[in-house]
Amino acid sequence: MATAISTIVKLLPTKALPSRERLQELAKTSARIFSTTYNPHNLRTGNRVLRERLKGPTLLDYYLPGRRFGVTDLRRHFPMLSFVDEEERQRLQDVQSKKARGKGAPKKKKGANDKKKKAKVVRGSVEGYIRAKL
Amino acid sequence: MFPTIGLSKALNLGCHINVHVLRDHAKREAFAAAEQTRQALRYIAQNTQLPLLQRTKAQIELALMNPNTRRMKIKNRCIKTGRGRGVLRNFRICRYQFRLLGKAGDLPGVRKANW
Repeated sequence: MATAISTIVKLLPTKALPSRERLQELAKTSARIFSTTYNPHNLRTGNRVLRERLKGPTLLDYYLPGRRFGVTDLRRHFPMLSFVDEEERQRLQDVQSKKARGKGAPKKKKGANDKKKKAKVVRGSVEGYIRAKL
Repeated sequence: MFPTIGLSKALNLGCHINVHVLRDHAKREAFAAAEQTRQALRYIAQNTQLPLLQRTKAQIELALMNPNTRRMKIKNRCIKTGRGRGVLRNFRICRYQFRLLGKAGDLPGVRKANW
């Protein structure tokens, strides 16, 4: 912050005050020399906002930090190489074994599905609805 | 019709995952992506030395931004269960998990009071 006039007055050797204009000039010069802000009327310049640190990276790390780089990232950064996603492979294998035992997901009804689709198209974008529901 | 939240495809969360956790993480990503824009607009809006029209425009733009880019939309959830209430901020887990893990001795410096 700028050097306030009162602090300058305290630093002065004599008790007799110089004129207000002289003091302001002094504050201005000291601000120029020490490259601080000269804001005699305490106007709101919004610098407070610029001084805030970015909170995004910290907030992103909430759900266990350090695990944000995985197989998907490796594939994206090194498309020429092949990587094995062990968890995904296991999941697909489980699904296959369940299907083989007759415990897979049930088949959907065809007639009812068509009706639903028609109704959704009338209401608006289906994709947006699904994405909103995540 | 519905506000959409985009979630990056490369998702590697090392914690318990349910819909609420995913949704919250999507909000965190949205916030991190829009934070600098938001700060720039806030600077313009709060700077009294800029023309009034410019400041008002910045305010309107801030108000029109996606609500999911707001800091206040983010809620700390339990990383063990995804529970949204009773979460201890320092441990990032909910009160019951705190009790279980604390009794098991998995939380450093935590022990059951006894006197």
